[in-house]
Amino acid sequence: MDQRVAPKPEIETMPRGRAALRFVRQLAFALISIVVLIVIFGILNPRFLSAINWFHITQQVAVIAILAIGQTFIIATAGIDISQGSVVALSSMICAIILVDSHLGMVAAVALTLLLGAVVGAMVGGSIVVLGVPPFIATLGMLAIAMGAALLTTNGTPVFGLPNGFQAISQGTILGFPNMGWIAIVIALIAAFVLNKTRFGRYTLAIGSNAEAARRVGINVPRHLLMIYMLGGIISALAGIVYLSYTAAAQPTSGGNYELYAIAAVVIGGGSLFGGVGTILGSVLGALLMTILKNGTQLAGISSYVEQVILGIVVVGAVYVDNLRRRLR
Amino acid sequence: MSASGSAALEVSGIEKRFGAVEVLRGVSMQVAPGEVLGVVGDNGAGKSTLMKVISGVHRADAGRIRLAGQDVAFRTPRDARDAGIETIYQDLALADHLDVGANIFLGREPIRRFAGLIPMLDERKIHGEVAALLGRIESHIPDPSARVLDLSGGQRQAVAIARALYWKAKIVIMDEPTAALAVMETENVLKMARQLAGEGIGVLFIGHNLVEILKICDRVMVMYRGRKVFDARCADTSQTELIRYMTGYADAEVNKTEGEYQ
Repeated sequence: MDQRVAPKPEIETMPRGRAALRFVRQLAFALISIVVLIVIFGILNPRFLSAINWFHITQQVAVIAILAIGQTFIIATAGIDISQGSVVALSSMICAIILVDSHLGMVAAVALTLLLGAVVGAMVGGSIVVLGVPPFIATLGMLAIAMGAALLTTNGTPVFGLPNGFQAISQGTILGFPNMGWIAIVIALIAAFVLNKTRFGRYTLAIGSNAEAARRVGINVPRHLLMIYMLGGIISALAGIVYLSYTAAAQPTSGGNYELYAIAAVVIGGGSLFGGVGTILGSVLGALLMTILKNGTQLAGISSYVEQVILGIVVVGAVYVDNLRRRLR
Repeated sequence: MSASGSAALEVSGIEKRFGAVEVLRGVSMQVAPGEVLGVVGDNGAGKSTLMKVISGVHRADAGRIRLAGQDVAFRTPRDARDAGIETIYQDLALADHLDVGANIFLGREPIRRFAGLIPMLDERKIHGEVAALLGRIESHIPDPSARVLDLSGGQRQAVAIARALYWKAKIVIMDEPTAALAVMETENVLKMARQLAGEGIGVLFIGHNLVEILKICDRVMVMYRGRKVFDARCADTSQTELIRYMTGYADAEVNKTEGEYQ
């Protein structure tokens, strides 16, 4: 971090090389941490390294990675979404109810659930853009609303008896790799394209970096933010659908702390809560790290209560490091 | 300035009031292509309101604006930009985390079709154009993919100027561009103001530093209490004279002669 020492243009390297170097440096922290955790958990319990456990890790990482991707776009605009966990619960409940109690079929159930996500996102985005409520409060409100709505759907009871075909989505493999992993990879590729290669992605980063500058060059900032939160809602609903397929039963109280995993994943992957920064690959690596932490502590015989404590510490620590990174510039 | 007398920008009789306060009281002025016009005046003289009227932020209550001989009426800053009036703000309005190329093209990115279908940013075009542009203005920025965050103040200024240049601005408003810069960087910015003029752009240079103004501007106008009270070629005036007008000392005599300066 010695850019300050030499403000003169000593940047005679190849243009591409510099951007690539920046990218690698951003990911180095996540990559090194993953390797360290794998070694530690491998020593604590050799079963951690088994093929079947990594199959499970791949399934588990998918939901967190999908949420982290949605969170990446939101955090890149200097926003935050702490309602993801309860939107996962609500959308998996709605999807399950449609699948079990109606004859609409799987495609319609998925489509309607995604629509629900869009509506939830529009409500959040609307309260931010139209009512001027800060993202933290808007999504805190949605956290309560979605949680309450999820409980209301069945008066708090779980929904069982999903069609076998629906469960097969998460259980199947392609080329020996779990479908859920493939789903996450496809979404990550699309998201990376959108964030890095399209106007939509560029405006997302520009708004997070300097909303006033974005406004002055004619970008419709309110409309863009509304679209970002709608996208976030759709992605949360998608995570809910994948999660439902994986757990095979809908619990109105599911999805707990998922937003924390996702936020930690984004920040560990190089995203900044101050906005303007974030990569999809970084966030996916962050999601992998958080999943390894969750899975590894379980296999090491550490209680899930302790795991929650660790999660909280990791979130605060990651954001502290983000602050530090920013100040050292 | 130009022989034909066709101004790049010509405003006449601009009036603007905010409630009961008359901020602009019939201001007329013009800038020729390739001319740097210094605009000076004490705080509250109406300089920045006049610039905001020209750049579409405010609408004038009366008066007209002609750009290259055409009457224009801007409803938004975007309209003004599209017509060729760029403003380089004091705070530069750059997205720090994006690279130089992204900032120059922000809001107007060239698009190509991925697989003939999906619209995506044409990065190759952006970086190619920007590299050529940065070389042309001697910006001292060798790398279009450097983040603006990593640049010095003068280099950041160069990014804003390159943006104006690339988008073929007819008029560039520089609002106290050197206020926060070190001495060396100030020199660079002044040089770039001349460079913009060298490209045929009319430059409005708002500033407080009269030494700077007299050094780089072709002409200077003084505003006082919502009026233009003085307008002269820099070679024909002096700091002392400008200060006389800026402080209103010469206000009385100016009221008599104001009509001459159209």
